[in-house]
Amino acid sequence: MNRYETLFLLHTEITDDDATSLERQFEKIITTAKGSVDSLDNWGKCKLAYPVNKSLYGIYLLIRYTLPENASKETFNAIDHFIRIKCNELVSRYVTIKIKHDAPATYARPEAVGSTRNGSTDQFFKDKKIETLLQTVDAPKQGKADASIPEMDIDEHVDSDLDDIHNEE
Amino acid sequence: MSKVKLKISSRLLKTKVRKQAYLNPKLCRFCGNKDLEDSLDYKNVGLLRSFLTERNKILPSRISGNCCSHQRILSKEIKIARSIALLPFCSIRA
Repeated sequence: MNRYETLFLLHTEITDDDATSLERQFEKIITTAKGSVDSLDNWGKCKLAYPVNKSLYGIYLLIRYTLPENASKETFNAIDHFIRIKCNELVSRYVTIKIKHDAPATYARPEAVGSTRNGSTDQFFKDKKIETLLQTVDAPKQGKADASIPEMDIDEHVDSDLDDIHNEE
Repeated sequence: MSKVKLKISSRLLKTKVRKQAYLNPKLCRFCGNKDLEDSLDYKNVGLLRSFLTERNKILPSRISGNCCSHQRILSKEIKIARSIALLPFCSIRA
């Protein structure tokens, strides 16, 4: 069995559904070739070293998989065909590399930009099913409607200012 | 009192000593260091950046001190990282 990895550089305007569909279709190609997917790793939004398709940011996605030793050229051609023709609008760059058998699962990678700002605390609590914390967050908002309005305005100003600073950089 | 006669002139000996003081023996960083050798990868941008010049050219082995085989692997990894926009090809002139 040989191990391979493919690193995708995706557009920043990609939705979650597109990313999951890409992952599923890629898995389907590998399972038909009697291989298996070891790990899927989304690095998040990263700043690129140079603009690609007129954008300075991109999303990296690393997929590691194993294929049998007698994997034919057709499987690699199918992967190339899938990326170049079917995912032409999503994937801007990609690279496929054969890795060692004893290669460690952990590796160094560049830091993501602004990945923490997207998620809200309420969504985090709902996903983790921590209901007790959710109630404490919701209760003061319902009780003190007047007091919460000026606080919200300040938060919005700060957010807009941060966005401006972020765009300038 | 008889002076000790040197085999080479004192001026040449001085320059030789001065040269040897400046010259540090350059060793390959990856030879004998298994962990660092394993981390030599196109995804490890922090390590690869230390082998680039200000203008983002690859440092020659006579300056970085890498051995021949590791310099070859390193240059290959840098070129892969450049192709997928992890490292720049060149710095943009102001």
